[in-house]
Amino acid sequence: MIIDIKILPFIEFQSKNKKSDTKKIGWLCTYTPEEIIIASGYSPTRITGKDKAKKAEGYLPINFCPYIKSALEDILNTSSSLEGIIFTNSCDGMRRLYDLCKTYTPNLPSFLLDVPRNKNEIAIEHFENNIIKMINFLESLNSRKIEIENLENSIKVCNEKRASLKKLNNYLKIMQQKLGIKNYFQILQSAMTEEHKEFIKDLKKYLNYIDNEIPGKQRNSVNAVKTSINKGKPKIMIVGNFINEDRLWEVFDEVDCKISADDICNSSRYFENVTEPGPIAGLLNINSRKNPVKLGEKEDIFNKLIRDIAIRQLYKPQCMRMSNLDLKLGEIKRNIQNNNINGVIFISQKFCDNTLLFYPLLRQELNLINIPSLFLEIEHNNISAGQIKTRVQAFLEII
Amino acid sequence: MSITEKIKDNLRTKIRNNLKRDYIRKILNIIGSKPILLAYGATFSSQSDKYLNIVSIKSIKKSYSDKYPIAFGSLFLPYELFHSLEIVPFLPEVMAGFTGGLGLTDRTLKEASSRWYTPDLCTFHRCASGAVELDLFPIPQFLICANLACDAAQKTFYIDAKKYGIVDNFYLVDVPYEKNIKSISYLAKQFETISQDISKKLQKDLNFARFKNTIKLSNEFRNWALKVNDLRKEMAIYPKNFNGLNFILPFHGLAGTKDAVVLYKNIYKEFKKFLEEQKKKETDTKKIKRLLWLHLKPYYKNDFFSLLGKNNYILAFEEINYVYWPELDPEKPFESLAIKTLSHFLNGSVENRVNAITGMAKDYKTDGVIMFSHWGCRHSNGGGRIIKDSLKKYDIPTLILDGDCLNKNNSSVGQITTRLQGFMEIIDSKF
Repeated sequence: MIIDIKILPFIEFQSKNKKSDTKKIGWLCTYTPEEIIIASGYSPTRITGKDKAKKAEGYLPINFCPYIKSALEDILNTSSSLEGIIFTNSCDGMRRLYDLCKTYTPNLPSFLLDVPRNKNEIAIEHFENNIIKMINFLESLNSRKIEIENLENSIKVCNEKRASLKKLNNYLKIMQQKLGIKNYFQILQSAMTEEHKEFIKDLKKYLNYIDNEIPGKQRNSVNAVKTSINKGKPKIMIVGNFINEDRLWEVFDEVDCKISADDICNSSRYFENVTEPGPIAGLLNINSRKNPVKLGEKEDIFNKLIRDIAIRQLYKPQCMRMSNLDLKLGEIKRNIQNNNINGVIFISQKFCDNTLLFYPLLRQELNLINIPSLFLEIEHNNISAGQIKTRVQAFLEII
Repeated sequence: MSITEKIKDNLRTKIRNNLKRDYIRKILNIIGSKPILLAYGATFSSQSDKYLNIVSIKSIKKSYSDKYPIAFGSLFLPYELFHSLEIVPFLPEVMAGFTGGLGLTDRTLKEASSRWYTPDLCTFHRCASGAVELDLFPIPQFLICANLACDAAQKTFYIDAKKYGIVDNFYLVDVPYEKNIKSISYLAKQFETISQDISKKLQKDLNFARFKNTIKLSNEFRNWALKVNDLRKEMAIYPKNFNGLNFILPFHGLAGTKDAVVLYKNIYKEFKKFLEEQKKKETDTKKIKRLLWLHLKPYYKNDFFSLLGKNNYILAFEEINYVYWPELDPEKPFESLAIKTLSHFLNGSVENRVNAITGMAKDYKTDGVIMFSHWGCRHSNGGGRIIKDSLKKYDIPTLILDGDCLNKNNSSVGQITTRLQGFMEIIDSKF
């Protein structure tokens, strides 16, 4: 028998009156290695485009990624609270955002991290070089050299955060109604924007609360899912890009849409894979370097850590920007199989070429395995909740 | 209507009524045969237009002939790579422009829409994808694309590779953001790996002599193109029917071939003679205003250029004809191709493009700049504000003209005309 326990929202567990002296570095794309920012003594904070684009409309054309526009609005409004920004060479939109920031907020130091699109030995090496450049940029900002210990500690911190978020994600799968989709994505938002140590502390407190409140057997039992009121509900996978819309997730809560897996930029693509690429490298059959790293000398250890980070970043669940789309299809299909998914809801920001051009391929593949899909094109900070609700409801009814 | 126009119109109608790959091949075989091509060439009023049409037909005919391995290529690749590997390039984005010229846009876009390509995406890529799905393009054996200046090409090429069942023959050239020693080496390694892989699949050895020869031809083409561009700095009147925006196929796809050398050599000869004649006649060119055109043009039938012409405006230069790369070293083919690619002003920061544009604006003494803001081109349009503000510093008026290069229904002819007229008034008021 299930005891209906109401899980409090995360906000109740967040430390009040947080006063962090740690200076912030903004970032935008999950290919940015947060480890490096933390190791340099800064706190990484994702620019989530919380402000509706107003001034930004004057800088970018009408048919341009609405997330990028809102991110530009955030930067124009709050650039003084940041010590610098790390951009990535993720897409045409992001490159232009970097250009605009360099031109119109010249006092805000910015750096563009070139992330390769291929996954192979030369791409890893190229990425390592670019991460070193990012290190040089950050070191020049605060005249502080990143030491091995700093990197080792920051890798631990990031891995701890990733593991905790993964645990939370597992809870979402088995007790979504109690946890809430909106609540889940708000936690993710905090994970990406708040000071890392404080956030991890708060999240652990929250996970402990869930552990204590929900009886273990029920929490871990497969029966918990089967006997819950979710029984018979179709299992949905969400695929998309950066979908950080409270109102949208509220709609999903309202229609009681059971999300059993996701592949989006502000959830699994952010926290999946930890930085321990030894086994990852083995699995992916990455050739060892021509000059193998001899651990022992300081420089070698440092370079190995950078390589570990480069591999983690390149081999995490990939964004649609990457070259080999079959790998992406494979990741999604594995998720569908492992989580017994009945339908896919594909959500994309308007004008995102990388994501929108993935859908024709995905739909074709899903048809082959008889998985229906719903295509939702949304506009960041400007969603049409009523229309989306009707479409999601109709989709859930037909599957 | 001239004989050339009549022939073109007749061909358009025939292709529209028989929309099949085999029929296109048949037409190309007829007009591409030597006697007909010569006769057709004779109908052109200028040498530049004649040679442009001849080399373009030859190239497209070859890609449809089924006799050679075909490779789809995205626009900004160094095509010397294709010619060195003896694979015939076919440029779907450029050919999408041809389909626009043939009046097929409605059909290709409809096909793309039915396969979930949303209307928010670039029309060139949607048209090309629609044409692939309609089986209008030749069947490729390889697909090579670069991420330079465009996210859409790599995705549509991948979908094409899936359609043809040749994902293993899909190559993405990952062009680094910056040009430096390490990035040149990274890119050169990619070109070398791709070359080795393609040669292996074609059961051939890498032919370095061929690479050397292609790069020599590319340098020769580059020299003639530079000479043409130099002459254009002085020209205020052009031979009839010359439009610099038509040269995108030979400028990119034929780099490294004899055809490109012949074409640009002939343009040079014609322009030199034409300029000398104008000088002798002492033609008054004071009233002529000079424009620099950024991005591409509308490929459907329109009167925009004749409107400019009637008002004494000429395209003094076009961004797409800018020779952006240094002379290449035939002894270091892969490094040379990497340098060429990384020298492109559309790669990396918009600052590179701004520097190139301001240089062109000064060199060609332009009175104004028109940036055609093609629907869906995030790369170009996203830099519009910076380009406009940068040119303002030099007191060069800039018009960002919203439109669609291929889809007439997505371009407001009236609005474009009004904006062009308004822009001309601004420039005229300065004189």
